[in-house]
Amino acid sequence: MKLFQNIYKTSAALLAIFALGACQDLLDQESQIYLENTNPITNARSAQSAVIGMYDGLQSDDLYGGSFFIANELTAGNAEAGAFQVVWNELSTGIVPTSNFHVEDMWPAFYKVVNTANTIIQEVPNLLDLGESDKADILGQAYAIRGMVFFDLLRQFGEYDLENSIYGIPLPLEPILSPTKLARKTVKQSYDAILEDLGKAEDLLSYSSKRSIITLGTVEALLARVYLYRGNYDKAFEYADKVIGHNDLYNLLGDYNDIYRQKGNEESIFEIAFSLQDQNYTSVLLLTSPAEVLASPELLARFGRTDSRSALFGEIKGTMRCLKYGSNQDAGDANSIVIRLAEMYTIRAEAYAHDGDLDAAIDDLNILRARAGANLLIKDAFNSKDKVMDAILKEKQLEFAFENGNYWFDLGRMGKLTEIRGLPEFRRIYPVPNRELLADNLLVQNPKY
Amino acid sequence: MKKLILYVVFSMLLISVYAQERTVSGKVVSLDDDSPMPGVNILIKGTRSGTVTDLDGAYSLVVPGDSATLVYSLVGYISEEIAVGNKSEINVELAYGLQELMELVIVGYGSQQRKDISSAIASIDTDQMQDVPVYSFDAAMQGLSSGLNISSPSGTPGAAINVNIRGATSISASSQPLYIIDGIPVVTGNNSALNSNIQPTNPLADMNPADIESISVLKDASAVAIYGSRGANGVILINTKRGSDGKTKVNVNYYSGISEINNTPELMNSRQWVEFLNVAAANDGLGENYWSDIIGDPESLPTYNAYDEVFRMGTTHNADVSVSGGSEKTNFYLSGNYFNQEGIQVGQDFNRFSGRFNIDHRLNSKLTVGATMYLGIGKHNRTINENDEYGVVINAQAWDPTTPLYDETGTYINPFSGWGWWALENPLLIAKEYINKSNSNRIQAQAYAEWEIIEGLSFKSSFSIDKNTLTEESFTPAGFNESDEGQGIFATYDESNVIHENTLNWKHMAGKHDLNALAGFTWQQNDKIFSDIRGQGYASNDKYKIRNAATITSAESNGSSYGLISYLLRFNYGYDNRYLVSLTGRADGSSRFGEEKRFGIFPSASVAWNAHNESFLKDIAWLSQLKIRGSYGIVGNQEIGDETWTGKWNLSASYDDQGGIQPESLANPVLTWEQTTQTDIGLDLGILQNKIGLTADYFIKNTESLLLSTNISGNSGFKTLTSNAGTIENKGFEIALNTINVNTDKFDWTSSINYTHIQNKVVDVVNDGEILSRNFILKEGEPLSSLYLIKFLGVDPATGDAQFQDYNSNGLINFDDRQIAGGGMPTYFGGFNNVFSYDGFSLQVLFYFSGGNKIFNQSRYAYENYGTLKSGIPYGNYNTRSLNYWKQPGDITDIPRPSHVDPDNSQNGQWQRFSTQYMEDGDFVRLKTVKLSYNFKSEVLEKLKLNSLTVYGVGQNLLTWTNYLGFDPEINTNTSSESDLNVLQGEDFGTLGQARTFTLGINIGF
Repeated sequence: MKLFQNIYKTSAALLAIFALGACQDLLDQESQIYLENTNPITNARSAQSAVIGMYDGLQSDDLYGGSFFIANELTAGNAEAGAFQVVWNELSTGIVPTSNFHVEDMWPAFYKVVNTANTIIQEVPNLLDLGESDKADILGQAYAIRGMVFFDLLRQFGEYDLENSIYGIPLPLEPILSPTKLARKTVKQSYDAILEDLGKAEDLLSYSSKRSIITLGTVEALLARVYLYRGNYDKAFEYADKVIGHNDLYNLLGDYNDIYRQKGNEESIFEIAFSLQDQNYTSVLLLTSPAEVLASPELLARFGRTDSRSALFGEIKGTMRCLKYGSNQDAGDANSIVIRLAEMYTIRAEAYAHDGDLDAAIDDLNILRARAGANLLIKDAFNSKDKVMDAILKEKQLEFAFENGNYWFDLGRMGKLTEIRGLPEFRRIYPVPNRELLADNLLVQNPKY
Repeated sequence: MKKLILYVVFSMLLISVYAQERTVSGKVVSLDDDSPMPGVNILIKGTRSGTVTDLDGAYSLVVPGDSATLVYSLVGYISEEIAVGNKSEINVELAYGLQELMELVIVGYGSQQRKDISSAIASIDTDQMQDVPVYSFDAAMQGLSSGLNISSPSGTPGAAINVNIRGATSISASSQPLYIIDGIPVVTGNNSALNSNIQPTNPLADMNPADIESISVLKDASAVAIYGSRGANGVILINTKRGSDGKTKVNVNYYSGISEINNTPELMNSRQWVEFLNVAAANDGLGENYWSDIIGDPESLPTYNAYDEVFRMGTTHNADVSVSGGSEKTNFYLSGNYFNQEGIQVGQDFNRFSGRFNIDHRLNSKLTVGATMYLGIGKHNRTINENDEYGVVINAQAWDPTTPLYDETGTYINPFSGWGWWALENPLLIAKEYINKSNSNRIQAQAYAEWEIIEGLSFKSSFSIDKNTLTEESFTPAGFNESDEGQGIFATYDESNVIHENTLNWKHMAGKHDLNALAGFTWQQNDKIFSDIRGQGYASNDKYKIRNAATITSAESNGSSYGLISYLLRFNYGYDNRYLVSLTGRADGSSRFGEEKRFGIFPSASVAWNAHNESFLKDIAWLSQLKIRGSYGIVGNQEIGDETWTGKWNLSASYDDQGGIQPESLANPVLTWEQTTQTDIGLDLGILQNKIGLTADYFIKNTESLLLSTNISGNSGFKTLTSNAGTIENKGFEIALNTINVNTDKFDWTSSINYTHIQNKVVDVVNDGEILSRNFILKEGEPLSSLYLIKFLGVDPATGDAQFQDYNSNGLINFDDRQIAGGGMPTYFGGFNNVFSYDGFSLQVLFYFSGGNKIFNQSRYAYENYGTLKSGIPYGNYNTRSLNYWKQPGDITDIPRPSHVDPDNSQNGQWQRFSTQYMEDGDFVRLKTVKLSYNFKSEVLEKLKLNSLTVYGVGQNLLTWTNYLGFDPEINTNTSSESDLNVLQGEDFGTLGQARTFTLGINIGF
């Protein structure tokens, strides 16, 4: 028995040692899958990974993974809610509650991309293992994406059409690591920041035929869009015309349908890439049964009889769907096109129209109509600026339906919201989510919401 | 080990060889006055065989051998246990008194006699749970203890049960109690990776209920403080059966039964449906007989009721075998269990195999070693139901009654080929062809040694493992509505706890002083590893293994872990059986807490006064017990997530086939446990020799530092930061009354009733007014799970229009008009149990009741509306209640005039809104269990050479009294996470109601 007691005492002692030894690690458990956020970018590799991370952020379901532009298609009336989820039914009415789930989710989703960009902009200049050209490429993309995101936020939530409005957007320019309150900047300050970012990107980036990332060509196209919204038609014209001139990079496709069948085609300037392993939520919204989002009869009625663009709408299980993202609900690998060459023609057309060159505007529109097989516009019938602007608006609706939400912003920008959609003017911009106002008392709501 | 097993086997053999049957006789008299006591039950311990004393208190009984122990019991008296030894005559004196007082109650890290307890602990009478045909012991505890609110949110076999002790104490973390089985904290969370719209699996269903010897429910701070940072939600302590000295007992138990759905809301037949639609169309100006012209003449249309296809008669089979026994040195308990329950809905079943081996061996007078080994295998087949547009139940309810579910060839009919817009999918197809399989394995093992260092001072050390693994597969077949190509999932989850505990226990009695002290050190390491592979593109719907998928769309492995280090102390002091004091404290360090808040200390104290032992009360004859208790303490809840506090970037931000990184969450280095401070005042009263026993408690539980997803400005990229930022309060009272109503020679009747009232209130939250999942709000001054709905003002008798309150007076009725409409959590609940026994017959009747809550019957929202969607076909079938619609001016009804107009597009729409129109009272009373059993008498047993023989029949959920219009007022849709159970209780959407079950069983003891 004595032997046994010795064994017992020994093992008890061993246990105690083991117990104490284990304790050191017990309270410091290393994460198996995450990096610490205090220092995520430390070298060239992590900097490049963070750039990829920005694009991943844009891929979010709430953004270019579908909801961002689909929401705008809904409020614009190109799309209508087809099933049960309240979020889409609300948007479908065009009357957006301040608590709409999508609106609540979109705001932080955009700012998450901004934060990734801010971290890159802060850390990358200090990295030692990156060459100057790599640094320029990384920083250029970060500035361009930040500028683009600020612009998307401004046109969604700010009075982008009123240069002197105080209702711009918050503009965080440094990484946010703990909850921070930020007030809205004015519209002018917002535009200035957007143009400053895009300007830096313009200096840093170079041309490339890649279409799934931002290149100098993308920045020029975005600048054309931003200047158009700001009402600087000369600059809008300059950049649109410049992009149209890049024949070595960008050309209109002969067949409109090919824009959606061929990923990374010549017409595309920037598109968000998806794959079967990294699926586009847009197909969930458009292709499940029942689909949450359908093509509206109003949109379908706008296509002319010979317009081949209507072929991208068709019936699946009893309802009319948009087929630009395929027709298989399981295969969400279609890309989301952010900006493509055809938009440059519409921007140039609008600049011509503002300049009084109505015929040139119609010519630009007819380039797109001819490609689609639609009846060409007859210049004599468009003898006033208003008529031409109406034609541009309609052309953008038909050309870009379900693509990037432009029609909603064009309705607002051109003051057509009440006439066409029957909505009061103030609804051209979405409300700031109520939860943001609750969390940040420096923020103010948009007028009349 | 091998030697040990040999030894066990050998001793078993010895016992059976040398066991010799003989007769013992004697007389039982009362200790008070030596009067003979008739009707005393005498049982051979560990068996069901025995006898009863005659009118003279005499008895005679055949015993299996010298090692047998006889148990003498009579209601109202304290039982005696006497070892037979070589005696042939045993005379016994029984003392009056409530058995309960002497009962040994398991408490944290030990046990105590009931009379010495100064905290609020309930013991559950496991006899009342025995042979009840439920898959899991947690469900069987319903109604048996005050303060313990248990609900089965669905009729799905093997599904999770919602258990709250004294209310929900948390918002984001779990409010489920800590379960400790044989000293091992067990994994209880749902780890299923499949579609979240399935009732979660219940890891406790892995355990065999028949193995359970005793259950204690620790309720107040003093009782739970020994579990420190895990005690806030109360603790359920379970000990499993162990062997005892004496003849080896073999027990075989089998029951089998059938079940059916309790209740189904009635749906329209084809004629009613088309006529109703005609009215809607006519109201919208589409003319008379609009739908008859399209669908057909209502008089001649057949009706197909989808309920008939998706519901079925379920079956339950349960078989238990146990062998237990022991010698002076070694005791053992062996058991095996097979349980199989086929659900009342097609596609659902659960089965379990389990085995247990518990052994204790005394090496010498000082040292005992032992082990516990348990292995359970559970197989779950579940179907989509909860909160899902592809749920079986909701699609059955919405099914267009003019369309059959399948044609003559057996081919499923697609709902889109009929006249309903929703159903989205054939419910029978979902039930049968959509696969959701979860296989769980549970290993529990413990080895311990206990060393009595000197008399009164002992040291116990144990190593334990609790391991729970899940292997899951799901498949959505190709070519139907939800998937074009077929989609599959293969997922695994492996969670293990390794625990090492060392405790030192000192007991000392000196005169009137009774001391008991406990000190301990424990650590625990928890590891989780999980994986999930998804694929699509299947060549066939028959074989769904993930290897058959053409494309793997995602594959991940993942994991997290936490560590816990604890020091514990308890000091109990009793003076003269009159004054009791207990001081308890635990210090917990957890890796889950932010680096600035690593260690927490959780102290508590309780006092009790056994007033009936005071000289001035001793003479009051009717007062047998008067104990006044009070306790106060602080405990925690550490179910806050393994890595919640850390600031992270994830590496899963891939794009265009390249790996990327991006922010995942902000850090909160001061994140720590939720802290519950509980005050309890209690009373234990025994009257008339404890024929009436009353336990009453009043408690206030204040939970602070609530883990909350604090709303933060989205400019950080995140909507929320997990912080300790809120307070909720649960206060209430609970009463348990146990009475011996009749106690005669042949007939006994005992009752127990328990009632709990809980008022839950959100006191302070950072996100005051946050809307949760559409229909709920978190609001200060209101309870958790407050429903937030548009207010329905009834139907205008003049126009038949539904009227809603324009709460924000903006001229529009939409979500911005929601207001607080009621609380989704029951405010009162309880049980009423009666046991009648007469001459070998025993009848148990248990009622369960619950209420004070509202339910948003979202199923009604779905199938009691009148719209069409854009495609111009009807929505789906409706409840027959809708036939009571407004027909002409002056009609008073709550059902508006039918109309197809969509309220989202027109304020004149009459159909569904998330309004109080569909909110109902959740109160109910249920005849939960009726069990009739018959114990065969010893004469019969002798002839059959059996120790015991019992036959029994059990009925479950036989009757329910409620005004609720859905399947079942107990069900709850939002169960996919433990947080949902706190804040989203009180919604019902397509959840399967509970089953009514009848079983017959037999129990044989050899």
